[in-house]
Amino acid sequence: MNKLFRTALFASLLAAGFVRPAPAQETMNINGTANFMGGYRPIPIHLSGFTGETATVLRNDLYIMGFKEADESTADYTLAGSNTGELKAELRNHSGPMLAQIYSGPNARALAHRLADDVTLKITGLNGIAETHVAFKVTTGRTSEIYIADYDGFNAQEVTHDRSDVAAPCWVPGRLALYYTTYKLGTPIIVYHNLTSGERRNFAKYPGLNTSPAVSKDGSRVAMVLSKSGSPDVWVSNTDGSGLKNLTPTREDESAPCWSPDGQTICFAGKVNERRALCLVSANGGAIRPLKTGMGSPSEPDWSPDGKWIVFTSQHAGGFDICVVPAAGGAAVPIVSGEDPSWAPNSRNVIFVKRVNGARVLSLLDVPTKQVKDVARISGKDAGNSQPCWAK
Amino acid sequence: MKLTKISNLFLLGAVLALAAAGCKSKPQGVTYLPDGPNGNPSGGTNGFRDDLITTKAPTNNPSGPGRFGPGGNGTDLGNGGKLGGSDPGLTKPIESTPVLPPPVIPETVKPTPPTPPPDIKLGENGIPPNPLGSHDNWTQNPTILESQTVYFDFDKSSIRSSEQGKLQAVSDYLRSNPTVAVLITGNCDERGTEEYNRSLGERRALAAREYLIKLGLEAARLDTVTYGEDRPADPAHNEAAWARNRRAEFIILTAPGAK
Repeated sequence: MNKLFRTALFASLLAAGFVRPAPAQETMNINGTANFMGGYRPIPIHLSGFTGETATVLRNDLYIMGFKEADESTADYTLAGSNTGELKAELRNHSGPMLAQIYSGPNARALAHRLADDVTLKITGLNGIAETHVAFKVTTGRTSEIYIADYDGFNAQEVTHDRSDVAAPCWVPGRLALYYTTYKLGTPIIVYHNLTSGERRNFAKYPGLNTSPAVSKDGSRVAMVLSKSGSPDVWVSNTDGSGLKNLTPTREDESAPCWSPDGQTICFAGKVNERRALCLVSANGGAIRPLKTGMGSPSEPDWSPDGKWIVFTSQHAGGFDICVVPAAGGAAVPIVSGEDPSWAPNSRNVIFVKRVNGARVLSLLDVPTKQVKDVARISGKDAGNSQPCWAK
Repeated sequence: MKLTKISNLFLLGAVLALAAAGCKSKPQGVTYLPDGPNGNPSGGTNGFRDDLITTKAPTNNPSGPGRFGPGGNGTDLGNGGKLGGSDPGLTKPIESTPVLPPPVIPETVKPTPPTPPPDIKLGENGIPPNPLGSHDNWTQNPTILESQTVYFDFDKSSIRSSEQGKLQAVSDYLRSNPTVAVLITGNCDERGTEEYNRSLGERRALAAREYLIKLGLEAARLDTVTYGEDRPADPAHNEAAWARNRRAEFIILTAPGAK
């Protein structure tokens, strides 16, 4: 009885946005970096009984989260059920049932997403990402706007409608709010946009370039690129703008800062001995240290929420690769062609940008299995979708 | 007694949930505070889910023995679900997370009055750019100095010797027309990542500006902006197009009312 009450209380607090579900304990056996980064076998699962959109969503979600469909004879798991009316499902492994659940609600996609997440959690011990959201930039013609959508690109909503240029959307952790760059006033400034109330206000409007906002995990500080001192540098301030500090007072141009989850360190794209490199600096300032990756022309780093990995873009003569390196540095592993990666909250999936005939599309990656699936393009076939940021 | 306490807590939770849900039904207009960084981000929830979903373990068994049954011998059904428990037979409470309303899009970002340009200091970091709004409402003419567009080497922001004559021509024009100002735009080819190029374009614009300042022009007349790779002069994806896109353009600004 007590447990039921506790659960109800937790649910109401969850609904009110005061608490977030605790992350599931990591039980996946990740033996060393090479194994994690692209050396993982997809989990064979057999699906039966699901139809229409439910089946499509389930397949898509499970594929992106590292499963592959298999015959009943070769599958490690079976997921059987039906979606006439309620969504019913039972998950079994070779020794018996693992999960039996009925889901009801008005939206078939949402029910299927929930089931996919429940299956993923049950089998891998990791929280699924099927119910998460992303923000990104949509370019049509000579203007661009910020959009948000489900992680798979469905239910996209326009956030800006300025008919101007925008860039670099960044979620405030745990909140329905973004920071992003807009050219609405002519030169690029950073604005804060509360998506619940619609409130939007200027955050950084200093002389020159204001771009690439990145909010610390605790939501208290923002790293960004400003050129107010005469060249693009990484700066950090509190969310009220106080405590503004230049972390990289160099003549070189720095870009794309991101935070370590403990809020102590900022990783960014800079230069070391005039060669492009990923660099680390204390969020309170101090010496700039190179992060060893072994890859040429790295940029756009993003630190995984579990603190273990940094995903980034490496540029070479043939294009761009998404690479993953341990946060302590080491030999980075190229995973797939693409650029501008952003980690999912599960520290396993990544959303990134692919160029198809020069136009950009968003794509989803499961790092351990290297499975990739493109996101439905928003705003027509000529639109560019880029600069994704996964809500965490 | 204990039960009452817990019930009270639950009531409090429900009230808070209602309060949070209530916020979404009356999106506020946009308020812009004056200049610069302002205020704490407030409000917002992590209510991302689009739908109210009820999940429960089945109570009947539509598919024969063993299917949808509450639990099974020796199986593990008790481990952490999203709501802290997914035991068979336990009905998960309805998650009434707020639904995302269509965002209220402000009409404009309120412009702020121009501030006087800062004193120019030649530091080791470079020369600080002009503040936003230095030449608000000035008419832009991109054609007058079109032929003086300065081009850059791949991934570089230094002024090539071949381009120095163009900057001299820009300087000459500005000296002959002392009332005009110029907007220097920094641009990149597509062979770079977006935010990297936004910074590189800024350096290109600032490098051209610095060259003009060294030729004796007043910094206050020289505005800059980077477009990164967003505004290619040539949208093709080849070396010739890329070379044309790595550039700084000079857009003449004329004061309102001036000829």
